[in-house]
Amino acid sequence: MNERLSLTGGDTGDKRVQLVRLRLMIASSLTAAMVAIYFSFMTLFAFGNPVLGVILVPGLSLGILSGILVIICSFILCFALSTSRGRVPSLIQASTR
Amino acid sequence: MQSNVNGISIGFFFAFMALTLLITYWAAKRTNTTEQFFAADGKITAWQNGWALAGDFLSAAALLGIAGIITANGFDGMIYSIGWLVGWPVMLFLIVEPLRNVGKFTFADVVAYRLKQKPVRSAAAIGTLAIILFYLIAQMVATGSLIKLLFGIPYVWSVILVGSVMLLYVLFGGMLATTWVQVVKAILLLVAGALLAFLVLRRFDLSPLKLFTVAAEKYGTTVLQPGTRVVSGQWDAISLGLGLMFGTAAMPHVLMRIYTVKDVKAARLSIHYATGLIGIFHLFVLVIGFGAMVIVGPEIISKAGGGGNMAAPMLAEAVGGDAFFGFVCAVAFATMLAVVAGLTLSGVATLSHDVWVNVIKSGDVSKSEQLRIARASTILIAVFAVILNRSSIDDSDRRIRRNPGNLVRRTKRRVHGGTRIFDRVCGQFPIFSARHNLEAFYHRGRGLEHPDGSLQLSCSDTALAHDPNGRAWQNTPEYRRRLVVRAIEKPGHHLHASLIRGRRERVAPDP
Repeated sequence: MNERLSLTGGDTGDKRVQLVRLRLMIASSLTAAMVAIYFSFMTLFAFGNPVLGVILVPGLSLGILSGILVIICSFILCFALSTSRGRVPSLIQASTR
Repeated sequence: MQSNVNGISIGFFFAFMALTLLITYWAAKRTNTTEQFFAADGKITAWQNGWALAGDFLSAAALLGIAGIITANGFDGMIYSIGWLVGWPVMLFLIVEPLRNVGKFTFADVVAYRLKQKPVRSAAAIGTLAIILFYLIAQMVATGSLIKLLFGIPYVWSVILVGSVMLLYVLFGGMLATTWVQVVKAILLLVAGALLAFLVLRRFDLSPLKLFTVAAEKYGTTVLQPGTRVVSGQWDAISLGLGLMFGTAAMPHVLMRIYTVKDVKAARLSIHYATGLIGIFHLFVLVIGFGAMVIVGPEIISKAGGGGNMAAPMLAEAVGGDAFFGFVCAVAFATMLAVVAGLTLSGVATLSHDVWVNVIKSGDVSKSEQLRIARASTILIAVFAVILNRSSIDDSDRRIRRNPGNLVRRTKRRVHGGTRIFDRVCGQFPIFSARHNLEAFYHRGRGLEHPDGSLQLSCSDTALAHDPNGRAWQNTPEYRRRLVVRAIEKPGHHLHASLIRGRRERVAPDP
């Protein structure tokens, strides 16, 4: 969040603060999403064995499928951060218009 | 056959050594300053760093350990793969940016920022060194054992050989050599994993589902379902998840790589690449683990010893013959050696940059002295690691000779020890995360005075605080000059700053 900012000339300190807060909010939300996804999986692993043990098709249990989905979700959330980082300055401008 | 296998492994071993020593020679000519020694002068590109990060993180445990756990326990082993991967997005979201912007070489740079340097850095250094030494010992024991097996030389000499090679990489090549060694190792590991997974799947019409179906037919559907085979209880599973996720997010030798690229954008991108590579590798390991279960059999692997760690090499022998077995053994060796080098460099940075420069000398050290101290620290850590390895194995062997049952206990201790390393690292995560993401540390809009009386920035002025490469100025005369220029040029900007020796001065906006 302390990355060199791209705000120009007439920007005020308030805009900067807003930018920092927005970036922190995005990072915190994505972290919360990752933690929620992973610990939902781990909670089911610990307390809901029968659920993850359901065989969906021969050779594939819900556990294996959800494990692979957790891995894919981690890729998607990383991608979401990159996308959001590019859009943050425009979001700030839109909100202060 | 054994001699053939050893011959191939030894051939690959020498090829890897020759290549990495050439890299070290090339890097040594480009390592003349502290920045080059610890951060490769920030000239590593994002994709190179992504591969190096993957190499740094994927230790032998990823290929040998997890494959063995999956072979013996089926689905349960998969939670290790997932746990190690999900820490990476967390690292990307919360740690990479502040670390790259505020820090210089180590994790402690960020934790101690704007706080009293000596106590905070000392505490951070103790934590980091404890993690690194434990991890280093585990890796060196494994590497030494493998060399002992390959060459038939005593364990002590195996460990000394590992220590010497690691010393050469770090002492002469610094971060540049270590990075390229990691890149080579990561490529070898991914190629070995991909090839092994492909050779397994070829027997099942390239369908993982068919592989899992055959596994379920042979050993029952329980191998596809969660159980209590790798955890002793429900809360134990949650605890393991916490340790794996947050431990991964704060590994000191991994975090150090964030400084090797030119800016935050490159740092973010390198984490993306690393996450992708590690994720793909763990999918290969899933196939390798179930492949070893079906093609080789968990009983045979268990009888081969090594606590199930021979699953991947034995599978390689079954699907690719002696040459492939030799290649996988050599990759395992390269993996361990590269991780050892990365860990050593991180320990050296902590010892020289945090302890010597900032705690003992209070930052008053010339650049040439910093480099000398860094190199002396490398020798110290290498010698210390070899001595610790030797004494730990000697004690353990004596106990095993007295009571053979201790062998089993030693194996279990190593597995639990690995998890404990992650538990310990996990403790660093909340410190770092709170330190850098809680607003209480910033006093936004008001400058903070550093305990040493120097000028510090407030959060809202961070744009001012970085040079064109995105590095923090951190109290340089150039920063102070910029601060004054900014106040004159942008009178509308509410800039507050604390000045040297406790005098606080406010640059108010023009009317």
